[in-house]
Amino acid sequence: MKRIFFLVLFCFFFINVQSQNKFTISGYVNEKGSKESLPGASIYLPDLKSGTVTNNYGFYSITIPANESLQVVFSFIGYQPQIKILKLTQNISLNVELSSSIDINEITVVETRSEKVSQSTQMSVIDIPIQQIKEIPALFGEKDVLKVLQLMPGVQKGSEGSSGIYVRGGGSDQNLIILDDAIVYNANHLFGFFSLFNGDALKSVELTKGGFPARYGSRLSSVIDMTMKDGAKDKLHGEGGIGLISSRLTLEGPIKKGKSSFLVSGRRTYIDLLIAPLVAASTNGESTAGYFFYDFNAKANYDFNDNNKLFVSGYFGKDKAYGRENYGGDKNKFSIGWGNATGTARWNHLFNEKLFANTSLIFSNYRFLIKNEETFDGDKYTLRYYTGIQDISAKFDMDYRPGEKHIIKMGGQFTRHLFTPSALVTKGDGSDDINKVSKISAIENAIYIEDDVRILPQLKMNAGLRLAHFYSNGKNYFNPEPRLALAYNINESTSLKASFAIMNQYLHQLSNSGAGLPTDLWVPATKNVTPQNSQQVAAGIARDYKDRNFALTIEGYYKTMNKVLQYREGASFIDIGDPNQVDNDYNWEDKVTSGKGWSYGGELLLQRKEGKLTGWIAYTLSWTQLQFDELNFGKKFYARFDRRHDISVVAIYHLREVKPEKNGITLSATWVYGTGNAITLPLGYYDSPIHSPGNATSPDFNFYYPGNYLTEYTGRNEFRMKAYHRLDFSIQMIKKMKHHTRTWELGLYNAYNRYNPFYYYVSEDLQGNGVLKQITLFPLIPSFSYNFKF
Amino acid sequence: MLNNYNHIRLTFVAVCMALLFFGCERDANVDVPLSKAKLVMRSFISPTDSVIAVDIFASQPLFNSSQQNNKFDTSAAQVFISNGSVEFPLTYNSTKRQFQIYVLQAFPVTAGQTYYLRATHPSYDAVDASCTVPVSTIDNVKATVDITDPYEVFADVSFFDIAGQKNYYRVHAQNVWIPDFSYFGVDTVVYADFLLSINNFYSDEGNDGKEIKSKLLNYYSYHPGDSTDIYVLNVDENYYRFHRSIFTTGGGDPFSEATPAYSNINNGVGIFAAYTQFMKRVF
Repeated sequence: MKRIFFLVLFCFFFINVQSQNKFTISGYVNEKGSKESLPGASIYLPDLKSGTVTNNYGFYSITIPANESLQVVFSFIGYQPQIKILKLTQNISLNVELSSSIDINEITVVETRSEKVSQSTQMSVIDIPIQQIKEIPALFGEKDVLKVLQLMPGVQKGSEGSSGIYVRGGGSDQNLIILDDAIVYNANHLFGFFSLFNGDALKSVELTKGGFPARYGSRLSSVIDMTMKDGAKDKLHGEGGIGLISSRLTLEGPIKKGKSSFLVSGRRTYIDLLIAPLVAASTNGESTAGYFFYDFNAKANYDFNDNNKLFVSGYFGKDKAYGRENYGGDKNKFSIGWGNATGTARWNHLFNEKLFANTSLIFSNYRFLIKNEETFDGDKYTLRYYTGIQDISAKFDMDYRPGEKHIIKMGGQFTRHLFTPSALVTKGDGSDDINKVSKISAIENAIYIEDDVRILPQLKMNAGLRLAHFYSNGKNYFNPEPRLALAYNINESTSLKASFAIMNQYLHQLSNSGAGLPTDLWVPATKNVTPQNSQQVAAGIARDYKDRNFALTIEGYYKTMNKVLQYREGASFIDIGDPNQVDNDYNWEDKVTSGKGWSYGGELLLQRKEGKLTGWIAYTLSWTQLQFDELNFGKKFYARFDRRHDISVVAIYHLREVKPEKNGITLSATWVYGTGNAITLPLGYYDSPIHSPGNATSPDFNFYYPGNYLTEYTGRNEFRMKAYHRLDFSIQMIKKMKHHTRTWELGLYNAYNRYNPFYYYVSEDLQGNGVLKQITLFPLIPSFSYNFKF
Repeated sequence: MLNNYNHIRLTFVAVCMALLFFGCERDANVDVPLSKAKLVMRSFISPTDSVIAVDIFASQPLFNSSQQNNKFDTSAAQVFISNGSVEFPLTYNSTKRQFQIYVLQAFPVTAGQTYYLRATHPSYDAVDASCTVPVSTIDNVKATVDITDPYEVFADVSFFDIAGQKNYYRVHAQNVWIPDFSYFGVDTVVYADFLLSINNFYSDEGNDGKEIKSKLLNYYSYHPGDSTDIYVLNVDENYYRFHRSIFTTGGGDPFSEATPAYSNINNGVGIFAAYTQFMKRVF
């Protein structure tokens, strides 16, 4: 440790000495008008063939030798680039505002770099413009960030319609989903059919699936980093829509002009309003049932000055399914609800033109709750069963840019987790009341340092180290996590890349379905259940086709995972113990088993982010296998979402204007194909009773308890479901009205009405022979919605 | 009123199923594996038994209509048991529909010995299996019976694992009632088994040489004078894994992963396992 510390000090000293005769250009890059900061914007110096990018808060800094006439190009995807000619004889503070209104017929051709995948050190990173997410067709017209990510290479979806994400063979629990620095533990609405992220409130979405920078940790497979909009600082803006199953509204505007702004955004379904009267009518008013979800985002910020900015943001969302029955004088009420709440307070501080810091205080809470209340013969019986996780975190990040060759990031995070793996409270059952509440607390800490450095004109490296610590129930885990990414530019537009990352995960999600159900249970690493870890190597090529605005990446990866968790055979979340079984007290550690995983494959992405026609073609060839000593008799088996081939084609065509503020028509289509999921299929059955102990002293002795049939299966996940494929269309008709812009959207989900299997089950034909049946969830589904923006 | 746990299950299942009802059902139209019927062979052997009994029958394939509902001719099978040096045929008992052999007379079952079982049938692939009888028997068992509640009998059983070797155990109990009247003029002994549970089966993995404690429950109307038979079986790995898998496969939990039952029968399914047994009667 000491050696590393002194090495870091030496590097800082060395870098500072080197930069003494240079000057710094620094500032923020914002959107013109709203002053929304633009993370990831490019600052390029064509004369020096050098540059940098803005950080998550839109800050940039670059230190270079003095120059009498320096050309600097500021650019960002979807924005008109700006060229500045600077006389660099002293440090310059320069805030730049880019206009988002690009008329595709008037694109200024300048040499920019933000779009060049060949120029970044990192690999395996995907960012999708929010505007594209809003233009891609979606189930019921509900735009969904996570479902768009599923269309990227290396990212698999789970079942039909599910927003579960499986990255490079990892489980759905191995994704670090962050909204404004706060971890979101369950990202799903409606049992996984929709994600809880409202695109109207989001500014950026970035997915990292390999070559992880040291600032990220605590999950094995991916980081999905989402940032909420800060809120427009110029005037009040609004955006909303009325769809088939939900409506949404976002308002943003200044609080104190130029100083502070706010954003509030809400969405709610009205399934319950439609269903409840039908249920009531069909039961003569004796019963009612319904389901709804809602989510609410809010954010406010205040600029004290150029050096100090404060952001406060929060998310609150809930799903609830409920039913009520009245029969005679007796009543029965039940409900299942789950939801996340997050809150983040962030303070940006600029120590000097080279050193930027952010301090965050973060809260995150997830809870799943079943309630049942019965009144029977005047007696009241209540049941509450809940699980959950609550985090309180403090996070400090520094961004130090000593010269044009280095971007150094370092920081640390402290998190206190409080898990409730199971809580059961009953009253008035006639038997003894039950109050079984188990809570486990844990501490997770990490410090990191990383340097994105240009070693040679053609060679860049991002090297970092993360030291992670976890404590729970008297057990400490310390793990160093080295990270390395290399990019070698063969020429201006082509680079070879490679990366290596070790990751550790101290939180496990126990899941039977793997579909991201609300019942999936978060539990900590303990003395008996050790952390999961992975090693991933990846290599690839990235090439930009500048003339045609295309970017091509081809990557191969190999990932090993250790100590991954699954339920033991026959166990599930619902196996909470039965008081009738006196020695069967619930203990989740007894229900799980750990094993190994291997995932490897190749990915291709051909992407176009600008122009009349945008979109991408993605192809993944992959294998994912697991091995658990206690599952499948110790033999290796394919993961349920192992998918040999996965193809996505996304096309968005702007018929007239690309500006959403003007009249226009946008056509979009997606086509997806995926190898069928791997499942276990029953093949036959036979009678096999339990042995009855005793002394068999005569031939008449009964050796068995009668009546137990066993099922013969294929090996675990040996059978493949039918391949999945689907075509979606949508058309958006945009019209500029007097005070707002309105968009009518018509969509077709599963346009050629493919019957994709959701699950299989065995039935019998008239002769009593077994027949395999399938349930298809979504045949052709048309949708329409009305959207507005002002 | 429903049991608490049923409430949780039913409520959740109802909501999930309601969602799925929006979907439509149709034939899957995929090539399913046409598995053929296999011989099912099962037998448990112990030095304390006088009889070795082997059951032979056939499995029912789900998707292979040509082999479904075939009447299985048990008598056409032939079954042989061997201790590695000498092989004996088993006799078919048509009343019990079992193949049997008296161990004391012809074929003793001894601790530590490996036995081989094979069966043939003209319509099915031949099957075979082997198992080894555990070397030791647990004989120092503490057991107490709690009859505070006359309708719930608890048995506390404890014993020490045999150190230095891999062991598996099963704990079992029966209430024994000898009525003071007779059925049909015959004196009768009524045995009432304690509840069967996966928790009756133990492995000493990670607990070598340590005490194993078990608590068993029987919903039983206790009569004055009744006794309780406590069984502690030292079982082989086949016995342990087979019974554990019975409890974990097809347990009615719609959220658990489909899992096959354990089988050690080559070319077929079923179980051939061995155990030694200790029994103690507690009054």
